[in-house]
Amino acid sequence: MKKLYCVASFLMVSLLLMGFSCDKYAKAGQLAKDFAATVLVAQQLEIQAYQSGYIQPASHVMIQNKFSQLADAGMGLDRAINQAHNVQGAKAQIDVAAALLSDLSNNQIAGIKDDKTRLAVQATIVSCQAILDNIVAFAQ
Amino acid sequence: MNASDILKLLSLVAAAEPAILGYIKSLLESTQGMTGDQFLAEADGIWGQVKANAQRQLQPSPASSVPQS
Repeated sequence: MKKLYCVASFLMVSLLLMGFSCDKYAKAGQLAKDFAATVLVAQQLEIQAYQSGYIQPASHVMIQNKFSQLADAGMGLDRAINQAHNVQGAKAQIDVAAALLSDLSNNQIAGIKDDKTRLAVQATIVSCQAILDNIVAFAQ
Repeated sequence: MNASDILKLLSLVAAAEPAILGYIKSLLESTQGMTGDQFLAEADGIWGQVKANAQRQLQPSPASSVPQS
C-alpha cells in the first residue's frame, strides 16, 4: 500500500512540475527529464517484483530488454530536443518509445502475478505514456 | 499558484509522511530555475542509470555463465 502511495505521490509531483517552466526549451527539457525519471521508477518496481518472485525470469529478461531500448530512444530524444530544429528526429524517437511503452503495458506487464505490483508498474507505465503525449503536444 | 504555494500545500497534505514530503520538496527545489540544457543533462544521466540497470539484469548469473566442458 505504501508503495502505491509513493508511486501516486511521484506521479502527482511529476504532473505538477510540468507547469513550472515558462521557457519552451527548458520546458521540453523538463518533460524529457520527467519521462526518464518515471521510466526509472517503473524499471525499479519491475526489478523489485522480479526479486520478490512475482515475475518469471524469461519475462524479466524481455521487460529489461524493453527498458534498455527505451533508454536508447530516450537518449535519442534528448539529443533531438537539444538540436531544437530536429523535429523529425524527435518524432522518430517518440514513436519508438511509444511503441515500447505500449508493448510493455499490453503484453509484458500482464505476466506479473501480484495484483498490487502489476497495478503499480502499470500506473507508472501509463504515467510515462502521459508524459510522452505531453512532449508530442508541446512540440506541435 | 506558484512553486512556494504548492510547497506550502504539500507540507499540509503530506504532513503524515515526512519521507515523501522531503522527497517532494527536494524535487521541487531542485527543478526551479534550471535551464533546458541542465534538464537534458539530468535526463541523460537518468537514462544512463536505466541502461546500466538493464544491463546488470540481463547479465547471466554466475552459475549459468560458467562455460560447460
